Amino acid sequence: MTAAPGAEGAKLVRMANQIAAFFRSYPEATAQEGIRGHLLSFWTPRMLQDLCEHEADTKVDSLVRRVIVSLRTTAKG
Amino acid sequence: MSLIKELDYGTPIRVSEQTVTLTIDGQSVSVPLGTSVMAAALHAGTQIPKLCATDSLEPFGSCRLCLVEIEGRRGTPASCTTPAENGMVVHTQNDRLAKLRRGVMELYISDHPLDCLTCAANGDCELQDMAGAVGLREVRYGYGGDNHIHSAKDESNPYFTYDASKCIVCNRCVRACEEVQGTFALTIAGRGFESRVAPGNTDFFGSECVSCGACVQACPTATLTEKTVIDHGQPEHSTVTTCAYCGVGCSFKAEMQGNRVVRMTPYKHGGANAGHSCVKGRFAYGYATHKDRITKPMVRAKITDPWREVSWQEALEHAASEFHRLQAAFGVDSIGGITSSRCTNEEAYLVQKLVRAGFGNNNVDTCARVCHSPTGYGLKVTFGTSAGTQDFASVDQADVIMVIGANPTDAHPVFASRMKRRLRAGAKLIVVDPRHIDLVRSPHIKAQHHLPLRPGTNVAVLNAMAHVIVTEGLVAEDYVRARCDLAEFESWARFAADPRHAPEAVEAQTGVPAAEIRGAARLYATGGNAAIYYGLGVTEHSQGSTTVMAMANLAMATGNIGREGVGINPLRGQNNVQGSCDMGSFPHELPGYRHVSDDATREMFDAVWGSKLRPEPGLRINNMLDEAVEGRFRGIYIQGEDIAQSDPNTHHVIAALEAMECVVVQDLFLNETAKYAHIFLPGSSFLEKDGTFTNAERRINLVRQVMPPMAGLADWETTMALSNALGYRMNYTHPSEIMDEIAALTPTFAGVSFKRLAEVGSVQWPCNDAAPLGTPVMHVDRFVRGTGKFMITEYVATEERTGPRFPLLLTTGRILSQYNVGAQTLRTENIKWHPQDVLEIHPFDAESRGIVEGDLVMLASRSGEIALAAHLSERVQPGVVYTTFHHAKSGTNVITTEFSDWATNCPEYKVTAVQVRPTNRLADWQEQFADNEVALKRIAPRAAAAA
Repeated sequence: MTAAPGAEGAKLVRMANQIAAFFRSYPEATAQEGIRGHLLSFWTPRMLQDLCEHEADTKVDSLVRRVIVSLRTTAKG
Repeated sequence: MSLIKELDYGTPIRVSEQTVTLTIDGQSVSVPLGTSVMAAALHAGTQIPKLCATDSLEPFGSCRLCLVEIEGRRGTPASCTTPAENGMVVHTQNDRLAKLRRGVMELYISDHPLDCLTCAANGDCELQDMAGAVGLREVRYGYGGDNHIHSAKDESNPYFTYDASKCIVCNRCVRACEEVQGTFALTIAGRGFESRVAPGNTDFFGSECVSCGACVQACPTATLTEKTVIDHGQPEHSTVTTCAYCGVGCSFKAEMQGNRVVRMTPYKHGGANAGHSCVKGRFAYGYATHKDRITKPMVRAKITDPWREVSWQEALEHAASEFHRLQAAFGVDSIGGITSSRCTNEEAYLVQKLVRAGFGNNNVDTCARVCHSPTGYGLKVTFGTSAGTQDFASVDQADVIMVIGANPTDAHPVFASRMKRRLRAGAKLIVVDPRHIDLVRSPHIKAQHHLPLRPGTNVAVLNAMAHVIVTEGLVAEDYVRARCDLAEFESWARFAADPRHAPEAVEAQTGVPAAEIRGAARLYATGGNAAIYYGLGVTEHSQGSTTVMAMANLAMATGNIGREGVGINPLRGQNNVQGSCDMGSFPHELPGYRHVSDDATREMFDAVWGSKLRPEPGLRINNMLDEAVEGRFRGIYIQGEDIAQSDPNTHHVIAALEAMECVVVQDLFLNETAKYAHIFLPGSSFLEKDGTFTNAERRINLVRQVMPPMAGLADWETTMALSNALGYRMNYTHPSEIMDEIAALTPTFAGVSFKRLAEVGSVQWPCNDAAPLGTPVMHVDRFVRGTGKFMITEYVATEERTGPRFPLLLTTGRILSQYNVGAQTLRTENIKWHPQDVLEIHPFDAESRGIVEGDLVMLASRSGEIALAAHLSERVQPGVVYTTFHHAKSGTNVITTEFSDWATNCPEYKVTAVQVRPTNRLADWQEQFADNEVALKRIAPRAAAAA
């Protein structure tokens, strides 16, 4: 199961989806805030950037995708 | 320096608010109610002769040497078994008593070898001392009668001998095994003159004895003696220091002859261990001077080159130049470091300081990543601080003890002994564990509820317990209302009350009978003080952090936080895993668990460090490895951590290490990671440096140097030298100066200094103006975060699933005699108890695969395969197999996967889907390991190295 080069993005997606699975029990706004806060607290900017590049990946959890949008908005702002 | 002699009161020190006043030899003395006349006499300054009494054991009254006269009472009662009473008038010395005592001593000595001059205990023998104290001058009975002088020695234990010829059958060893250790391995066999101490019908090595040393410690003669004392003689000076094995943090006296450790004896005043020890701390220190120690810095261009010994200066300058080169070529974030949970607080602090201020990034992590990082996360979210809530002594007040995902008798044996004492005194026990661990049923202990859950279903079980507590009206409503966030509680209570969490609903999923869950929940909620103790069976899951929060929910809902006897208690794995986390070893936190994004905190550090710290988190270990494979992470400084053996999915770890251009390993030995290193910096053992360790109860203990560093530098000095070579100046002359800096920058450590620790022995953080002597129990009046926060803890099954190819679940752990990657314990006689890792498999699973005891079997997962010897055992349930990871050659982590905790990336070591089949060969990885043992560890001969 050694990661092949390029596999890191898939790992990041899996990690983000796991985070979403935890926060999914909360109301949508709280869940998004929780996921976003978690990512900003524990992920490096480059990991966040890599995750954002996977926005269109069908494996990305819908909650994560909405957080990605807000992260992009923040970055632009 | 001198030998530290601890005063022995003969009977345990009693604690009572009431005192009694009596007169002993004409002197008035007041002592706590329950104190024996013997101990009261010592309070008054009079030492009554004794042999069967020692203050670690309850009084026994068998030796008849401590006789006294009490006015108004008949006869000569034993002072050890007689409680002091108000108005009592006691005489400890007169001609009558002296004659009686001499008579007793005559009988003892008539059946004792008269070889004092050549006896190993010469100079440290209570029998010898008492013969002197009572004035024994003759033995009227002669020595020619029946005796035991020619009894055979039992030398089977690697660390101590049992010489029956010197035994006076005082029972101290038997009682120590029962009362202190709680193993009940020893007994008195035979009757009358035939009475002898016996470890069952076998020798010591083959017995139930766990070699904790309590019997040796208790023995008043040379009967049970350390082999090192037999070999080298009595120590001449001693120093109190702290054990470098597990997170209990036992205090020991390192008893020395010059720079040689003659023995390590547990220190009675140790805050964590109160005079007890285990086989590792007590005896397995020989690794520190093992011939495998590397004492010269070494470098090599490629990992396939032989190592070349060089000067410290050359090694450090080479490392600095490589790190500079990599950052210039690949960016400032292309390198990082790992602090060690085996090193001191001061050393962990320096490594993270070097990374943050010297490397200029936050790419620092620690081995807590792979063990208790979910503890830090879960407890910070719910309570507000990343640490356990109690001291160890708190367990003495517990009425219900829930042990979940921990095996304390193996992994935290000294605390386990304390816990077992409480259980024998009547506390109730709940064990949540897939395996039938010793605590489930052992001498005089039986769990009221054992919940043998399917690995990976902790959260489902805890949610089911929450369901019972909420739906049966067992919530401590007053506590919740006063202490917790009510809106969060109500949301959680609705979640917990949902029928999908009912024990009956999750029975099939968890494998735990609903009635057991209901019983356990009711007991936990209503049984009085309820305390949870947990280990890596909680944290090393994809829902490790969720499980920690689920336990916190239970404790808050039942009011079991904020006083003695309750709490959430992580049993930390390594000696300083709490400390390394406290010291800012995580990539997102500065010392004291303050996030790097906090401007005010960063500015404070910037001012003292002369740096400009980065506000965004750095890479975790697993992220570093992933980025290394991607080619973005090129260099690493690893102090005292062996990621190539201890981290999951060995193939991936090695691929990452091989992809790096500069791997610097600082360690005692050429460990597995060093096979893939380019620069080796020799480390120093705990005996070779000053510093502090912080144990699982937040207790900061001093580590004191007893011998010079074998390689010339202590680890903190090496980090400082590397930092200076990198151009980031560090200038400390002693670790106490580092602690002073930590205290100045960290509010929870504000009152900590080496001076304070030397004065009071130890403190538990927070230690500051508000709590100058530390804080044994946290969250007493309010939670650190203000109100306790209930979290919704939905059960999410791990992605690691069993199926036709991999139908069994592997869970891993460690055993009593060994410690983690085995680098230390396997270089001691402890290897005799565990010559190889084996695979525990249930007889049903073995039979269906045609496997019998001892067969070589191939253990295969989606990550890889290894061959191990099978051990058929009903300790594991059908469908579950278990092994340890102590021997590098086993390659246990070849099997484990990279699935990890959602919040912290703590690896899911405890759940791996596997298949087991008979085999007649080692796995390819193991064959390669044997080759690499030679190819990647070669050291060039000195002459060649110089050329």
